[in-house]
Amino acid sequence: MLEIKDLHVKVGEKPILKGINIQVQPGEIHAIMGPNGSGKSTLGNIISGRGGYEITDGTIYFEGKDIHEDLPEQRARNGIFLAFQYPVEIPGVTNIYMLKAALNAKRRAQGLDEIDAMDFITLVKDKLKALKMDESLLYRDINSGFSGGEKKRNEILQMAILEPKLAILDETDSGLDIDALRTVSDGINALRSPKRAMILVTHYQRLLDYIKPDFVHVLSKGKIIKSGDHSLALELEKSGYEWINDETTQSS
Amino acid sequence: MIELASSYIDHYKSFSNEREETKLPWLNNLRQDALLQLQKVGLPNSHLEDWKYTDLSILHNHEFSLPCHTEEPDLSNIELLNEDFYHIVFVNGKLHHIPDEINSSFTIKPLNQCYSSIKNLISPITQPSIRAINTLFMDQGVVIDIKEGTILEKPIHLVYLTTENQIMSHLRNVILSGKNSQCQIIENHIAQNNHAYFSTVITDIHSAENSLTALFKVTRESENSYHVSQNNVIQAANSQFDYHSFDLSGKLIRHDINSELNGAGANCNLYGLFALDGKQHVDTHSRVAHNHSHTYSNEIFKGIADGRSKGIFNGKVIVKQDAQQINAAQQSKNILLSNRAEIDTKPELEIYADDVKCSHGATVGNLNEDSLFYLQSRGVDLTAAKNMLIHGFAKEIVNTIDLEILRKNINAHVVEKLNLTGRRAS
Repeated sequence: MLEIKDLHVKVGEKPILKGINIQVQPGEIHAIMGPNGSGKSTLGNIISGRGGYEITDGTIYFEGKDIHEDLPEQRARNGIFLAFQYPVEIPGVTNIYMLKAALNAKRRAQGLDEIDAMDFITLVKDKLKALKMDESLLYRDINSGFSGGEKKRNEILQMAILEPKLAILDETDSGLDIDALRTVSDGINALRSPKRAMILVTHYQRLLDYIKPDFVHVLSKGKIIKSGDHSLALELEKSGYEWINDETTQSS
Repeated sequence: MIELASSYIDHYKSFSNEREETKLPWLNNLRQDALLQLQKVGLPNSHLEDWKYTDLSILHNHEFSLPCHTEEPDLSNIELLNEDFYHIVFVNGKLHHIPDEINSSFTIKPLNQCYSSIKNLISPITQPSIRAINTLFMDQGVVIDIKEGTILEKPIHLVYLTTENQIMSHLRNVILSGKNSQCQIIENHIAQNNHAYFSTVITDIHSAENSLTALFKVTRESENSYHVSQNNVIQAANSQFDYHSFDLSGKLIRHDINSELNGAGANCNLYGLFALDGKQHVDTHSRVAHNHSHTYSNEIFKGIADGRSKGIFNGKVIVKQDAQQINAAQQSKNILLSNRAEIDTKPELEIYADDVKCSHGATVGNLNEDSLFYLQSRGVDLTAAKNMLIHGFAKEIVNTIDLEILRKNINAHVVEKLNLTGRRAS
């Protein structure tokens, strides 16, 4: 589904990613872990098409197509979703308005009619309930004045409605208390499917107790320095990132 | 200057010959003062600090004349005229329709039929402003008198329609908001065709104790028009004045809002939104004078400038000596959609008391990149995302209108004006 080969990315003159290789198949959950500043968020942004980065080498294929020139909205309509680490507050635009615009943009791209207003409301209310979100959040301005937990749930709500093929969850666990973390994780787990892939970008292994990944990659200084299964995350939790750094320096 | 303003002075001479009320000595004197000022300084121009960005001396070269004869106008397409409001219609600066005698709780009368009753309310010509030329040609307008304790159940809707080319109009209204009264007044400035014209409108409001006056002003003038307005509000104790202004079209628009808070508990809320493109020019100057302790003001002005347009906001807040326990808040927020557009915004605070709370903030920026990417990453295309952000920005001001019919009407115009087409969005 997603195939990244030897990806090199710069911001200005500064290299951020220095040769990333990763393959994600439908149904898989990959966790990307790494210390702050290792390039984790950049990877999510690059896949989603955010501007301000320069790809100097390598390729990104999604469903067999090179997407590096696609606009963010095209990628979104084709099934890529990014849950933001810091969801943006947008005053004056209601949550429900954006949700509907987003869903309809996707439907139009698929050659479908716009969703019926009643069907839409029913759909949204079901998802809200599952995420234990208050209905009033729909009519509030996007993320404006939302608590940290509400913002993260709102990201998952959008994901649940847009039903992406590939979801990238950037530090979705940060800033969540234990109850909110459970609700958010339940929401994410409910979206697991053999057709859907997920990339969890996280600093801590905490989230992975709730959402068990198939693969764990450790990113450091712009490179994936180690890959493994879930046990790698547990190892990291115990020994810290220093352990990986030491190990790789020794072996090289 | 004398020669430059001379065409207006010539017009005045023929105008004054036709007028009957020139027999009123006080009015004659007032007009003489106005004439002297116009001869001395001309129309307000960039030599004056308050007119730094908006120079009306360009109008000295225009040959605008007073309309002489007006054909029966077509009012069928005028919005809101079918609503159950009290309608007053001016066509080309002349009073065309006024509600019939309504009841004794409030009256609407043509200005030129009640000079004697408002004699003391017409202030003299002091510093250079649009008041000079407006006073010179003062004849048309209305006096709205809301009697003590009256709560108007319907808004008063003033339509100012221009259908002729190369004309000027100078209107003067006086609103008397009696003790404990409440009223809503809508001023709709519209045009048919793209004619060039020059209009000045001065609406003076006298808010008695505990009265509530809401003024909604929508400026949708022609692309070649010059619109200059002034609102002077004198507020007694516990009176409230709400001002909501929407500038959507017109070549040059200038508004001056002056509020005098003269009694404890008096407060004013001033809200404005301009949406500009092409070479439009909109300049709003507000001046709020806290002349008494325990007075409050709140201002939010927002601007969106595209193309080569220019938007100006100057907000002056004055707190007189010994006027304590004041709360004055002011915000000016602006978005530039083009790198050739210009915004000039300036707060001016003159505070002569110590126990006051005054805040002000001004921002000018582009659309937020993070917000745009957020929406795009949900599948919303860039143009739609920009539109969402721009409308969202404007909505705060549109939502200050509590009159639903009007809010919807204005919102539709704001959305229409702000919708970026593919071409403009790129």
